[in-house]
Amino acid sequence: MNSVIIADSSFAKKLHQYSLIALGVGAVGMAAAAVFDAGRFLQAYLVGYIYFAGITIVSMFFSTLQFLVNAGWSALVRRIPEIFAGFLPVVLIGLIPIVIDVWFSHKLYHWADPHIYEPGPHFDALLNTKRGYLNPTFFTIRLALYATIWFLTYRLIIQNSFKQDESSTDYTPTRQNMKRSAPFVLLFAMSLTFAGFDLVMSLDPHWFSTMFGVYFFAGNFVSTLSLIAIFIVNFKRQGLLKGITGEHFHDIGKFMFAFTVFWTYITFSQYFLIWYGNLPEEVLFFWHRAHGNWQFLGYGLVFGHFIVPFVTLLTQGNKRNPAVLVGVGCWILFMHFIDLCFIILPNFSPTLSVSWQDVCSWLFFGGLFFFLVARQLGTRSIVAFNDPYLKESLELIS
Amino acid sequence: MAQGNVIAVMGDYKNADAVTAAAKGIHAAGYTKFDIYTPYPVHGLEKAMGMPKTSLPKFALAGGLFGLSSAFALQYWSGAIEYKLNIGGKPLFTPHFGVPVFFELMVLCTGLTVFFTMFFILNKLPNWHSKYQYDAGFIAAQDDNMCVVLEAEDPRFTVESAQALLTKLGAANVRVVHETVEHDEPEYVN
Repeated sequence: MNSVIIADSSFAKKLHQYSLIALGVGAVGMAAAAVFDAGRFLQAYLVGYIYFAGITIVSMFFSTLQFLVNAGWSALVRRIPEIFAGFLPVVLIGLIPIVIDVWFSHKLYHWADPHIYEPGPHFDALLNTKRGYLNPTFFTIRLALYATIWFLTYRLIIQNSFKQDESSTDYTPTRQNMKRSAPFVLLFAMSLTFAGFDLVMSLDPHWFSTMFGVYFFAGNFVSTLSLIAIFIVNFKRQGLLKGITGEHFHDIGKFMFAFTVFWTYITFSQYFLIWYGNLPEEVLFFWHRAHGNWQFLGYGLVFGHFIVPFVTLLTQGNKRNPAVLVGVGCWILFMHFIDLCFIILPNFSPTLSVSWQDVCSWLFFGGLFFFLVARQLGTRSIVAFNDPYLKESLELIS
Repeated sequence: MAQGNVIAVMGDYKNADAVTAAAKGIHAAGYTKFDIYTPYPVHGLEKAMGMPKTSLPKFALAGGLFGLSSAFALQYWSGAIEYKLNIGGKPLFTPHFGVPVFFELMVLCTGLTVFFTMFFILNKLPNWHSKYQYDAGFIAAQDDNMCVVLEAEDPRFTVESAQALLTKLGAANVRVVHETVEHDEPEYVN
């Protein structure tokens, strides 16, 4: 197989066009939101940022995982998440506004406000004991550490995977990746878990859940898989990647189904233990979300993030049907947005507050994400054509 | 060894691709009652043979729904009707704490249903013999042979056409297999 560069395809052109429109609309909306209400702007920023940062980092994990387990089936689709990983520079730069807020304006993270540690009516004894971990200096150091890990993953794994394209006889890059992937999967698990703790869970600093890292991972992973599914179906439909067959759809569909169940399992385990334990510190998180009109979002998640994809992806025929796969993929991506809103926004508002700011933030980061993807599609092959497992992937029967 | 009626025409193959191609050819020729015995699972063979989809998922669904409803009934009846206990001020019955039992009983009932359905209804256990078991090629299918069997029960089966089909599809050692009326088993003397 030769390199497949789809710069001239209508898919790449449309992606480029629509991403620019989304970026424009999102940027205008975000600018308006920043002028309108800086606090609300930062909340929306966090929703959009976490959404696409999660997809980017989990995409790198997906590629690393394929090297770790010497996966044969995925050689044909592995390049697509590697292209998603090209969003990483924005992920790293996007941490800066969050750090600035923690140091100076304290609008996002309640624990960053120095006033609650001074004796007086605002003194918070619980947070005072957590101050050794939750303080701006250590927070910044930790974020820098995660950023380094992610940057190294991109440099050492993803770029090495691109390097394999240069030679069809020398498999050194792939061999190196197989060795490197083991420590990087471990580092990924640590960095994503703690990034979830720091960026999202600490929005409600009194609350804690050891399950949160897995919960954060599960939602990101299932949406990354959905995005990969949408891309390969479109590549197949437009005849851009001929090797893709129903078998690949089936495998991705199985993955989506499995991780939908995994997300549910983790989410329910977290909820169930807190509900049963009934400790005031832990229960408050769900108390805010189970009262008022936030609860409709919660019920919506049970149906939308679990029952709908579960029932749709249950049968073999549906997993192999490209139209169904795209439909479920888009639906899961939408529900992931709702899920993030449900985790992040009730910390700031007792009543339902999903609003135009969040949509604009999503459009802004989404526009940027797909713009960078479309730009890479112009120069990079959409298939790792020198991968030693490519033949196995082409002949895949699941 | 005495011989009875013709029960099948068999042919041998030595590799998975050839046997998959042959399966396609036999399916295309319209045979429905034929089987292929291989030493290891050959991916895609069941599709090439045109086998209908298994009915196991329907049994699984029935078993799962039975498990789910019995778990609901069990917890509701024992907790909220028969023996009311106030534990930590929690409601007598609520789906929250019911979920683990819903899940476990559903999985248990599905698993048991699938196990018994598959082995005892669909796979026809305990049936420890096959009528082809005295054929050398069939025995070799446990080791290094892929054995195609065109059964005589097929409506379009005739010895000549079956032999011609298998020969055309490149089978080695095409042979007519007769029912074994009696066979050389050592006679035990009391």
